[in-house]
Amino acid sequence: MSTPTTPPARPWWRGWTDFWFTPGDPTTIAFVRISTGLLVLYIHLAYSFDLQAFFGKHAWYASAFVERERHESPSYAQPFWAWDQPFAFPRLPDYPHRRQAFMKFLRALPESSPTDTSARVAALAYINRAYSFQNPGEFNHALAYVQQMPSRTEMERYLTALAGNKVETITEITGDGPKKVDISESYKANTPDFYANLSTDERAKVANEVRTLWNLLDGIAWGDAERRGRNYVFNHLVEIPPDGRKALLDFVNSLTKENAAEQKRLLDYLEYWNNDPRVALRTGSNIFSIWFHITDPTQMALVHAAVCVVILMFTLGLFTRVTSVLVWIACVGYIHRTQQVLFGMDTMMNILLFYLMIGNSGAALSLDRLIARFRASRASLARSGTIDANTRAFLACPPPSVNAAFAMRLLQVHFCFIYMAAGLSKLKGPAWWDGRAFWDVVVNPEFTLMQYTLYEEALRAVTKLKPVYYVTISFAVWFTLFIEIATPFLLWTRLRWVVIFLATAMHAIIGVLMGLNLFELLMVVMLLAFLPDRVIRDRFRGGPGLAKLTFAFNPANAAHTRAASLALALDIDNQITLVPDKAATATSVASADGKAATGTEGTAAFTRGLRLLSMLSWLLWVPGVRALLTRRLFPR
Amino acid sequence: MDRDAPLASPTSPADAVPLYDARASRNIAFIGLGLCGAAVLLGVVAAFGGDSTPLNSMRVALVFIGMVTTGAAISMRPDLWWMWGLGVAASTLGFFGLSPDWDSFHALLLVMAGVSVFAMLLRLSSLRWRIVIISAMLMFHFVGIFSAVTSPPTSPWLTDQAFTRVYNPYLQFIYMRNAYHFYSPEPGPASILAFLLKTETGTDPTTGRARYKTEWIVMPRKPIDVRDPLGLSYYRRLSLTEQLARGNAGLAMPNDQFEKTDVWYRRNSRTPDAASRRELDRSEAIQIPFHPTEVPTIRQYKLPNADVARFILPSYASHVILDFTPDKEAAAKTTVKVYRLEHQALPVDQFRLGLNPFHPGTYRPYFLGEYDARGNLLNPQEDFLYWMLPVVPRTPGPGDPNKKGYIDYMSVHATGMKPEEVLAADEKDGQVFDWNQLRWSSLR
Repeated sequence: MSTPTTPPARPWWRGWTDFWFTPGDPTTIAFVRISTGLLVLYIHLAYSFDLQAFFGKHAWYASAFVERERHESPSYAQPFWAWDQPFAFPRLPDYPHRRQAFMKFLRALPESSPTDTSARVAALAYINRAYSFQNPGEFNHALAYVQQMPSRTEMERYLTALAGNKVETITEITGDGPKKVDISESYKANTPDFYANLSTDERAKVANEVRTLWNLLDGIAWGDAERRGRNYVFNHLVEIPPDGRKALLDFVNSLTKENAAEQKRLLDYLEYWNNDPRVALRTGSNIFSIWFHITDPTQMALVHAAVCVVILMFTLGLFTRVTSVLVWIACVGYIHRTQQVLFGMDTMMNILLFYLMIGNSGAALSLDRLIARFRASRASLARSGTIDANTRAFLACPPPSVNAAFAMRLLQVHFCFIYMAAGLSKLKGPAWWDGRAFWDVVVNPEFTLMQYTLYEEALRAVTKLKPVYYVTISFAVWFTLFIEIATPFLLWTRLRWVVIFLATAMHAIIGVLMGLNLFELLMVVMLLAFLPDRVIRDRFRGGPGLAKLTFAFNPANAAHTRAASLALALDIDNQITLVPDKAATATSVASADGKAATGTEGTAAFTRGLRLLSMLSWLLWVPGVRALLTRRLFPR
Repeated sequence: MDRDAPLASPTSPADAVPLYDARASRNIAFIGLGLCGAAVLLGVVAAFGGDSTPLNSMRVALVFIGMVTTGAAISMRPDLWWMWGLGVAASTLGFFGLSPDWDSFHALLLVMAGVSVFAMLLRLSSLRWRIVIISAMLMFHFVGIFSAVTSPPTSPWLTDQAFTRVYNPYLQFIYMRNAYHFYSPEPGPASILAFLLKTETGTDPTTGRARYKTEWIVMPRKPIDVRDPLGLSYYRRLSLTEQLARGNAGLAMPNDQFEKTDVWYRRNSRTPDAASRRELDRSEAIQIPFHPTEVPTIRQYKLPNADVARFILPSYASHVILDFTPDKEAAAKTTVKVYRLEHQALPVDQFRLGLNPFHPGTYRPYFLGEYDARGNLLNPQEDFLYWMLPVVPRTPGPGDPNKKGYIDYMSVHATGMKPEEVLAADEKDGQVFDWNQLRWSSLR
């Protein structure tokens, strides 16, 4: 009795190359191309109604804003090596009035140049002194000290007290009549100890610094009688976290070293982007769009129409290698221009177009394939006057392609990332555990299904019985979580069919309930990438009972061989048998009954009998098409 | 010729389909190169000429046609390494051929040149090295996708570094930065935007005060904005509204104590209770209560994210003014008040009782500021800025002349009318907000 032997294990790299680089039938990717192309065409035709509103100069997100964004938006990274370098940046307050006030303060700082920084240094001296205190509480106290000086008179009194001098005596009206009061003590009491204990010279310096800062703040037009902006400046400096405060003060101090134009640029940048471009990892975005450069409405309409034509060509599979790149560039251009109008659908569309650009999606189910069939037939007829074995094989089905299969693998793996991320991220939300997530979605009044009273009544019916409601929402979220988390694993097992069916059902349900039809359709198109090649190819084949035709031609006549090649190119169901006839003066087509036809009648018989052309017979009504086809198939 | 005979199995299309002639492909590529080169020459001419606008337009057209022509040539013979070399040359010429204001396409052409170099190297490599190089690219790509998936806060240090330092430019370029966290952690409520346009039309001769024409605009409008059969245009507008929902709810955050106190104080001082407690004569200033059920009341404040407040909101406001005024003069005299109406879905216990999911009380309007046509926020210290303005349900009594089941304080705020005036106003007149327009009226 022989013992079963296990096949030798493949080396890991073999498994890797087999997975990614085994040639596959391009029919699957071709079908994905057609499906994607139709949806992309719809998506962009729908843009036609909103071209100006979404992408025009004064769109919802106007050109001026997106221009600034793509040139200036900063990105930052935590320090890679340093442990002790804080990840903090100069920040303005998010409250607009407070931000406005702080910017007024920054813009009011005296001008300086790299060669003369004295005035600005003097204006900032007090704040820097306060910041030099080790104890953050003392910084706050030091600022509160100046903040409590509402008027110039008050300021002078405080500074007099700081200098250790007697503040002028004031007259108070008491019950016993007017009385001279020495108020020095109250001012001294409000002087921080860390100033009161300084030497006389140092106190004089502090007084000067306070006066300079106070005068600076006093000179600013705050725009309101209460001069609240002044307080906002102090409040921001006090409330900003220590690391942020350091970053802000470092930024303000660093301006001193810049020339006036650069100072203005940096302040504008800070106000808009809330950061310092000099410490950014990079500024600007790596995005491109034709709509950044074309804003004239007429030109936009023309370009948009051209884009739709190219998408149509891509869908039909005409010059697919070129049009797939053009379509991706064009579609990403819409995406990059106004990201505010996007949702998950655009993400899926882009993923599909990107991988379709990599794979040879025009190798099957395309006009390119018809052209290739024509060229193959013609070459074979020119070589041997007949259709040789290789050509017959090529005409029967598109040859396996490494890059078509590779692109489908890319799509499959990416799809698993999408599902896994979508499923796992939902586990963070309590509503996905108790079922409310499903309810919140189906009852969302802004989704289009809520326009139907019938739908609303159906929902109310579900809520009539408490257990029905809870069972429904529980199973709905469990089903969603199961599909999204389990599918990336089960798709690679024998259960692939089951999960494809369940996932398609889930997308259909979401599409109906939420009205996100196109998003869900694109997800289903992604699922198509998991279908075996034959499943799709066989669906496109005609049945066994198709009519058989013969096409007679003279192989010695170049026009005849071209016509025969064309006939074979259009015959995707193997219906035609070529009949070489060296005596033939004209090509002709004959059906099973043997009745031959040529010219216009031949074209009619040809389009009637050939499955592909019979489906496209409406095209013959387009002026010129019938004549052209007749000329090509039945040359005189 | 028997086409039903047994089939051979070609391993490559080239076995059956003749390759395009290399010289023909090269010549086509040269045409593309020539067109791109012509654009470079026009650029030189433009640099010395006066008005370069027509020349620059021609340069764009030449580069576009040149690149497509070269691309077509490469697609004819992608197996030849030197065809990809011509692709590098065309991209480089295209880069210099485009005028500087087409800067985003400079980046695209650089990438095209890079891809052509990559493809050329692949063509020059042995099969083994091709597999190694493509495998490395695969790993790079999917590690990038993984970094995008794990990038939303709070992300690990490794993801943060990989994403920001390495992957962000790449993923941004190909638009694959999405983390795919759909409806996570929880599905939130949708938002509607309401704008009150206020255009100065002249001066009242008796009072000397400015006169205004007002108009309410809603986005998205139902069913007008469902412009295509699948409602894509409608959902795109919902995405626009969703942008403004990003922000920090509430005032209970650790920092900004003074500011929160100030924001709270100013808002609180505008409630009817506060006014009556302090016995202030506030007849001129509108008073609006807090929403009665959204407690604690500090949750009724929502500070928008920095990007929303700084450029998205101003852009929207500017767009609405320019779109709904006849000319620049009118736009210059127009301001717009922006409100985001968060539409709460009814919880099941209310839904089952038959409550209307479109009842005005289900909306939570937030005031997002008043803007001019340039998108400037007119009063950053507005007491109600970023606060919820409640729509409070009420039950009209038997003898109550006003049958409305709610008091709309958003209209009180927007128009400056007293609550009783808003209550009495006919919403069809257009002065106060018409809540009926938010229903799917056409089919209900």
